Amino acid sequence: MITAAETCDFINEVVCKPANVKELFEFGNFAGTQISRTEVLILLAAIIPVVVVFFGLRKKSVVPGKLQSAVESIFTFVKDEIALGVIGRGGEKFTPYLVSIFLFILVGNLFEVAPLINFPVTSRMALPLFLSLITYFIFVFVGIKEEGFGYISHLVWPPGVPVALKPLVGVIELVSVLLVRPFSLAVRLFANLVAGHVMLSLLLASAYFFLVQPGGADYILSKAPIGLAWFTLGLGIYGFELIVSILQAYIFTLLSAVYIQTSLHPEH
Amino acid sequence: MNMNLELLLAEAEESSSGIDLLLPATSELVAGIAAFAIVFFFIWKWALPALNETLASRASAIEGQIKEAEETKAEAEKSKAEYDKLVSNADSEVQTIIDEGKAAAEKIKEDMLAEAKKEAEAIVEKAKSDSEAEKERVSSELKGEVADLSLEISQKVASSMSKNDQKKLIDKFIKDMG
Repeated sequence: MITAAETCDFINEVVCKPANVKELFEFGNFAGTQISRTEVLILLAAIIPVVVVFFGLRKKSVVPGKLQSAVESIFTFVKDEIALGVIGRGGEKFTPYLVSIFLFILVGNLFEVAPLINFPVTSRMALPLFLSLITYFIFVFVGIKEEGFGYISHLVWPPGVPVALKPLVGVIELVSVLLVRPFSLAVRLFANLVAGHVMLSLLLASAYFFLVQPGGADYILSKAPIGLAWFTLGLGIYGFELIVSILQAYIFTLLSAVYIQTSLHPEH
Repeated sequence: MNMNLELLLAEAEESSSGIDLLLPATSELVAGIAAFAIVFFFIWKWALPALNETLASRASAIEGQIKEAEETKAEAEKSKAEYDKLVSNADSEVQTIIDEGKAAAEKIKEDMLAEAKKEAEAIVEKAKSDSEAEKERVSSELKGEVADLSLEISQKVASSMSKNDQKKLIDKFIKDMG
């Protein structure tokens, strides 16, 4: 964004914007190949957790070191608090999936605040949509495996609802479970990360323009305080986005577990 | 002003192309599938089994250490009981020694007292015996002197008395002396 805006003519152009808004989210090809930087970052979001987990667990020490403790804490947290805590009985077999999406999304989100990267790969719709579709197929598969055709019929004709309301509630349930859930799951993650990325970009780019743009002493005295204010606010939002990155990874994993739980234990 | 409005309208029209941002790019989707597959298979096939193995060995080690601690504790308690028993026996032995010492001292005391008493009695007896012998000796000497004196007196008296009177007088004198 900074690079795009550096070409702006602030005096003659009323609206200065990149030639293509997608420039905010798309990057050039990586090292002269056909692979884009986003695709490289997506693969990096897989390699980083794999490497960290590998080095954390390879020694299998009875008395763990700091890295092993951290990795074990994440795994046991997802297993105990989400897989077993939310899904309950039978939740253990979903632990690999839940740990995988948590780590993958977490690293993908943290790219937003990673120096020199500053781009969350989860702010591209491909990842949230793909992951939410996996969750969708899992909970639908589990529901059909547990109840057979009853899974769909209970959605269409929900038990325990007055007969007069059954058609209305049935339509709502069917749409919300089978159509809205995967998209709401994807859009929640995508929108949060896009918003954070745009906000950070705007604040820090504004700070850059006001602080770095060449000009005389008058210009610096009149504009620099504004740039400093944007920069301070940008740093605050930077910390906030760090929390959002972790929180969104947790929320996505937690909701995936909740959806699986509703299919696995419909009586609850 | 009109120029600004036109620019803003043109901006609004162009921004409709932003819908592309909501559509997943195929290449990114493929990269995402490959990346997630790597993470999932790694976690599923290696990381979780490794973690479970580590946790199991840790639980086993902790159980072993607890068991070892319990055994050490039991040994310590056994040693303490033996020590207490030894201390108790030592007390008992000391008491026995003291009692035996006291009994021996008592016996020595009694023996000494008995011997002293016996010696005292022997001394007293000897003194009595000596006293009796002295008494006999003195009595015998006295009797001899009395007899001599009597004989002298009797000779003096006899010279002035009849033989009969002399005899009577001597008998009476002896009798009174007896």
